[in-house]
Parts: sequence; C-alpha cells; structure tokens
Amino acid sequence: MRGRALTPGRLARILAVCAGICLAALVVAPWIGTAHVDPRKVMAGAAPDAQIFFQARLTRVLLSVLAGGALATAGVIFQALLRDSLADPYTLGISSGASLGAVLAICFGWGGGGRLPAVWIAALMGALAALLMVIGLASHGRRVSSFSLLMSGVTVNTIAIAVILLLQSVATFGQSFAINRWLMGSIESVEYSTIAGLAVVVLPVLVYAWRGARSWNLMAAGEEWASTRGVAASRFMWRGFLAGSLITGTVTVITGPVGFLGLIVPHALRLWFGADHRILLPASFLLGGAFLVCCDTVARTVMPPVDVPVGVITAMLGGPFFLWLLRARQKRYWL
Amino acid sequence: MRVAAGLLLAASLFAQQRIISTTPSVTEILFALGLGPRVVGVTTFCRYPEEARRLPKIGTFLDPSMETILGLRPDLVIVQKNPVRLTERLRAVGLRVIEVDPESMEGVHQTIAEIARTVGIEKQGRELSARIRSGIEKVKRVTAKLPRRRVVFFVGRTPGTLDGLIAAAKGSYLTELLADAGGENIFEDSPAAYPKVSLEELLARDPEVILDMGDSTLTGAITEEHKREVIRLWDRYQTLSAVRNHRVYPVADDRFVIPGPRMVEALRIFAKLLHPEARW
Amino acid sequence: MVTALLEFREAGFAYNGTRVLEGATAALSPGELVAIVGPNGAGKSTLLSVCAGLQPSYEGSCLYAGREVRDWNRREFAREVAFVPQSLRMEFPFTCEQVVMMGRAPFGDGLFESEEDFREAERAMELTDCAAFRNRDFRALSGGERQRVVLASAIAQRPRVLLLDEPTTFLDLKHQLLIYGLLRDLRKQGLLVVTVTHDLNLALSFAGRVLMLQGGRQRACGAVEEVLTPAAIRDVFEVECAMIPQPGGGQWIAYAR
Repeated sequence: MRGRALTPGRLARILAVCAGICLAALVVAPWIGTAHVDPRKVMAGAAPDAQIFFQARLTRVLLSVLAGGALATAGVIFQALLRDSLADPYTLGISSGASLGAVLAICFGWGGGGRLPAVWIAALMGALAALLMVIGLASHGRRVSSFSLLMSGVTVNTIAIAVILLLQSVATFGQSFAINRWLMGSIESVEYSTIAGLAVVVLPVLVYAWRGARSWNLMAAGEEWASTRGVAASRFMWRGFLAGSLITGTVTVITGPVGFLGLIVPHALRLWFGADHRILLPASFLLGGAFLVCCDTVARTVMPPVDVPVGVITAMLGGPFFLWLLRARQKRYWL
Repeated sequence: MRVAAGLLLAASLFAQQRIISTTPSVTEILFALGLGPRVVGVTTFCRYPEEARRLPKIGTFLDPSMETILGLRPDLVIVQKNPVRLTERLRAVGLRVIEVDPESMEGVHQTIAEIARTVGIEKQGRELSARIRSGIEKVKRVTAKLPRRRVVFFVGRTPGTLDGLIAAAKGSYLTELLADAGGENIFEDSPAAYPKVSLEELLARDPEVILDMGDSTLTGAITEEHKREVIRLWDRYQTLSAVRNHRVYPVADDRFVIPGPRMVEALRIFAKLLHPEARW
Repeated sequence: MVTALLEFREAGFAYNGTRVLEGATAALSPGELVAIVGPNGAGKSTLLSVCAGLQPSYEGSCLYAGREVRDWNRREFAREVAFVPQSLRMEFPFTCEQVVMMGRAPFGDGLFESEEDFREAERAMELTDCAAFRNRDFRALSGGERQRVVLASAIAQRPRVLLLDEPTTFLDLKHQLLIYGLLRDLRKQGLLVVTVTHDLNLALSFAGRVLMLQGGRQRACGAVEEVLTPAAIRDVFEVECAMIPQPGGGQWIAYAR
C-alpha cells in the first residue's frame, strides 16, 4: 500500500476513506449521549431535544473535529520540522505555554476582564515563547537532539504548570475555577461563533501547509537536504513554527491543553500510509478530528452526569503510547 | 469539693486562652460561641465577623504556615479535617489540637459541641445549636407546605462564558441547604460532590431555578450590572424553563460556601429565591 | 579552454568566530572530476557546503555560472547543482523511491510529480542500481544501499554540478568502485563532479584534478599526479608513502607504517 508512487487517484481514494470516517463520527456522535433524544423532535425543533442536539452536542462534536484535527496537524508540523516523531504540542510544552498565557490574561484582566481576543493573543505569545525556549534549550549549534528536546519540553511544561498553580493559589474564587480548564483540557458546548472563529484560523493554516506538502517531505528528511533541493529552509522553518504555534495556541484557548493527539494520530497514519506529507497532513486533520470526537463521546457518557475532561482520556491513551514509542526507539538507538 | 471544682474550671478557662482557627467555618463558630476575644490567629479567608479580619493570619486552610502558628504560642489549634496532615504535624511539635469536620449541617452542630466541650462551655454550645435548629425549623415549616422546586447551584465556571459548569451535587452542604429551602437538586445522583456537568445534562434535566455563583470573582457581593451580564449569558438557552421564566439568579455570598452559624441566613435567602410566591 | 562553471576566489568561512576555511581559489569546468582531499578538520566539507549554497555568509567570492552562489534563488540553484551529504539520518518511513523523487522537487510546483519526474527518477535508480529496493523503507537499508539511493536522488535533479561529501565512507570496496565508476561516467557526460574523499587512491585513479586543503588553507590545486606526491602527502597527512606504478599505467600509493 505505501510503496506505490502517489497519483491523484490514490491520494483521492485515501482522503475519501479518511473523510468518510470523519464524517461518520460527525454524523453519529451527536446522537450518542446520556440524555434521550428523539430524532423526530430534533428535526421538528422541539424543546429540549433539538437544543440538546444542536446546542449541547453538535457544538461539542464540531469543536472536537476542528480541535482534534488542528492538534494532529500541529503534531505533524512539529515532527517534520524537528525531525522527531515524539514531538507534539503537548510533549514540547507548547500547550502549557499557551495555557499559561491564557491564565495570565485572565488573572491580570488584560484587554478588559480577559475577553477572548486578549486571552487569545496572550495564549499565542505563550505558545511561541514556550517553543522558542524548548528549541533554545535543546539545540547545540544547528543540531537539536531528541533527548534534550524531550527534557526541555518536560521542563517548560513543569515551569508553566507551576506558574499556573501559583496564580491559581492567589486567584479569586471565580478565577480559580476558570484556571482549572487550562490545567486539564476539555471540550465544551461553545457557541457556533467560537467554532467559526476556530475554523477561520485553522483551515487556512492547513491549506497553506498542504500546498507545500512536498517541501514538508524535504524538511522531514533534513534541513540541509531541503535546502539543496530548492527550499529556503530557515524561512520555511520559522513559518512552520509560527503556523504550528498559531493553531496550537488557538485551540488551547478554547479547549485547554489536550495532550498526545498530535502523537498518536500521525504515528498510526505513518504506519498505514507512509511518511508522505501530501497524505499525512490532510489525513491527520481528518482522523485527528474523528479521534477527538470519539474521546469526547466517551468523556461525556462514561460517568453521568459528570463530564470527564477529555484531556484525561487522551492522556490515559497517549501516555502509555508515548512510553511504548520511546521504548521501541531505544532499541534502535539511544534516543 | 466546691473549691476543687472551681479550681478545675479556672484551670480549664486559663488553659485555652490562645486559640487558632484554620478555616472560616471554625472562626465563625468560635465567634458565635463568644470565644472571639480568645482567638489569636485565623486564615486569610476569614472575613466574618469584622473583628476576625484584624487578627493575625496563619495562611490558608490548605497552606498554613507552621512558623506563624508556632509564633502565636497557641494552647489550642482547631483544625478542619484536611489532606495536608496538619493535625499530625501540629501534634508532633507538642501543640494541643482538635480535629473537626463542619462540612455538613450536622457537622456544624458536632463542631460546635466539640469546641464547647473542649473549652468547657457546653451550655453555650447547646444554646447556639438550639438557636440554629429552631431557625432552620422555622423556615422548614413554611417550605414543607410548598411544592419542591427543581434547582441547580453552579459554584464555578469559566467567567464570561457558560463553559466548564461546576455544580453542587450529592452530599454537599449546598444540596442540604437547598433541600431544606424547598428545593430538589437536579444533580442529586452525581457520584461527585462538585462535578463538572455537561450542558446536555442541564438541558435534559431542565431545572426550574438556576442559582449561578460561577461568574463572581468575589464571594462577598455582586453588583446589579454584573447580575444583568450573567442573565444575558443564560439568555441563549431559552429552552430552559428557568431562563424563560426569569428564574436565573446570579448570586455571590460567603454564607453559601462557609458552613457555620450563619446557615440560617443562607437558608432564608435560598427559600426566598426558590419560593418568591410564599409570604416571608 | 572551457569557461569555468564553478569558481571560487579567496573563499573563506568562519564558524562562530573560528576561521575554518580561508583563501580557497579555483576555477572548475564542466566535464571535470575534482577531488577535495586533506586531513580531518582541513575544511573540506566546509568548502563543499559553501559551493552548495549552505553557507550564505561565506567570505570572498564563490560564483556559479558567473553569479554569487548566495544570490541564487534556491530553487533555480537546485536545478543546476546537486549535493550528496555524507549520510542521511531518516526519522520517518520514507520509501527509497520517495527519497529519490525528492530530487525532483525543484522542478514542479504542484502537489504531484509529472511524467518527466517519474522518468528521471526511474533513470536515476537504474543508473545507481537501486530500483530493486524502491519500495523498501529507507531506514531498513544497508549503508551502501542508502548511499546509492541518496546518489540517485541527486542524479534525479539532472544537475550540471554534482557535489559529494565523502560518498563512499560507509561502503565496501565493491560499492566504492561502483560509485566512482558512475561518477566517472557522469563526468564524461559533461557534468562537473566535485567530491570530498579520504581515499587518496580513489582520487588518484578517478579524479582529474585535486584540491588539497590543510588546516583550513588551500595547499595546492592542480592535476592529480602533480599534487598527490609523496612529499606533499608526508607534509599534509604526516604519513610516509611511496608511489607504485600500476601495470596498466597510472600509479598506486602504498603507505608505510
């Protein structure tokens, strides 16, 4: 399957399958839930079934698709740029950086009581700062070693969470509840305008990345390799880091840090379809979205009426997966 | 014999001249028992009564400063049951400690009795408890005849949004108060005391009354303007009876989150919010 | 006299303030096979990467087709000059064919390769004898197989100049000779081939010209028999050696212990 050259027909077939899975999740998931919902009442717009369907569930499912897709795409981007399949917005500490930015904006009431644009910008700054810190700590000259990358990611994570906890301990009662969400990611029934805003940021970034998919292949093989094959490597790299931080920060503002998605989904896809980014980028988006929809469906039905944060579910799946990857890699070479 | 009894009383009175409280609940109970003048240390969150604000602060419930506590030379520390092993740590340095658990209405009464016994003022303890019970009974006599209102109390959420709704549920102090006030908590069946609940469950369970403390940055007070803002947030969900019938009440009050002698006042506020139609 | 295709004058490079190369001067023409030799740390790889456009902050001048290398558009440059790194450490499961196909990246803008791209990749794989493992994971290949795939990727670029950084370091004798035979063929087709090597005998038998570096300075540049003399080798490499005439003409370097 993964050996043959990529033709438009083959790419279309693979993406059709992925889109089918994503669409199936989108269509099925809103019908699953703890409250009973009658399809006829939903179609007729009768209360409360229609509201449960359209306001409580469909919003969550749509947010999951976009957030999951964006995080998986961000995973692919960071993995290619750092040439490390263990890189992910969460393991690199970028999600935590974005969370810290958001929490700072909330606590200090930047932009008038911490409304969305100010919180969003603060989160983007946080994401970028975390990324720069991790790369700065891990690089020796032009080289970035995988081991120090992971260690720096852990360190930045720890620092960001420590500062968040510090802020939480001095925060007011109401703020401390708000801060919880940036410690453990969760999917909420947000407004449609929020979902539209997320789509406006994420989808152009995805299209931009996909158009340069062949350059991503070159970058994934090496910076020098890409440079001698016509890619303006350092400019491409910084644009890529900006794009990855932009979508990670934007998602994190809305959902808090949801971990390991960017690790699991691209890895599975590479096993099935190989490393070609022309497949990997769009397929990661589609299946990352479908995967988070499934996780969120579990999160909202497993312990009614308690709404388990979806970050708990992804971490419980992703943590062991990460360790397994790490062990498999140690057999090949010492990190 | 009488002399001996008198000496014993004097000894016990002198023995507990310097008391430290480690939670707002205990502080309020101490002051209600008339022990205010003997309290030498409270937490940063102890804001009632007014005199308590001026006392030295030992930190917070979960993060008390051992150094400050020892510096205040207490002869009695009253610790609310907590996960930081404060009781053991204080006993290890030779301090007299009693552990109380005023997390429920009955727990408040037990705490009153325990403190009163330790300090030797059992009579005042019994009187305070009786006063609280009769206040509660008075409200319950009215609410017992009224229909029970299906209610939800949100203790937290992300300010400015309706995301991350945290409700008071099974076994919490608030659920007890709401029940006595003639309400029925729609999240009574939850396995956690303060669960994060989904919008879906809220819409499906459709409460008649929503008490929302989630947007308050302070538990002390809430402005009229802030109230209007919170009500505007809820306007999205016209399918909720509470929203349609204008029965969303933004609230903020220390009395709702600090179990103690002021429970009667909290209960009266709830009863009025749940049953504005009754004569109060 | 053919005009020079690649010409550097007083080219130098400093890395974090440390001068690793200075005063390299040579004019190289199409149809030449030039070997860059020198002990470790002589600046061989640095000179090669300056020529490949990987060090835009080089000093002096390095012209390709009359224009400074740093001024070339990367894409246009990649259609002219191909670079073969010493090794390629691959993290992701690209197949060999995908790696070869990466050489065609400078030629198309779209998401898919053209018919011509497939033809060129095919030809490159046949030349380097790696069509047999085209569908295998690059990471699963032996060192020799990998090097052939990387070379195929460079050949697929249809370059006028091929720059190679120790292309045979990890290869056994048979594959060393195979690669150098191939480089000789490419030279005959009119390519300029510049290769860094440690193997003076390979340089002696395949290269026309040798550029010898020592401690970051250019020591000599000229015809192979004139540069690779026992005296120069003793001086630069600190090794005693003798030249042994080969039966079919040419010479062989024998090192003394």
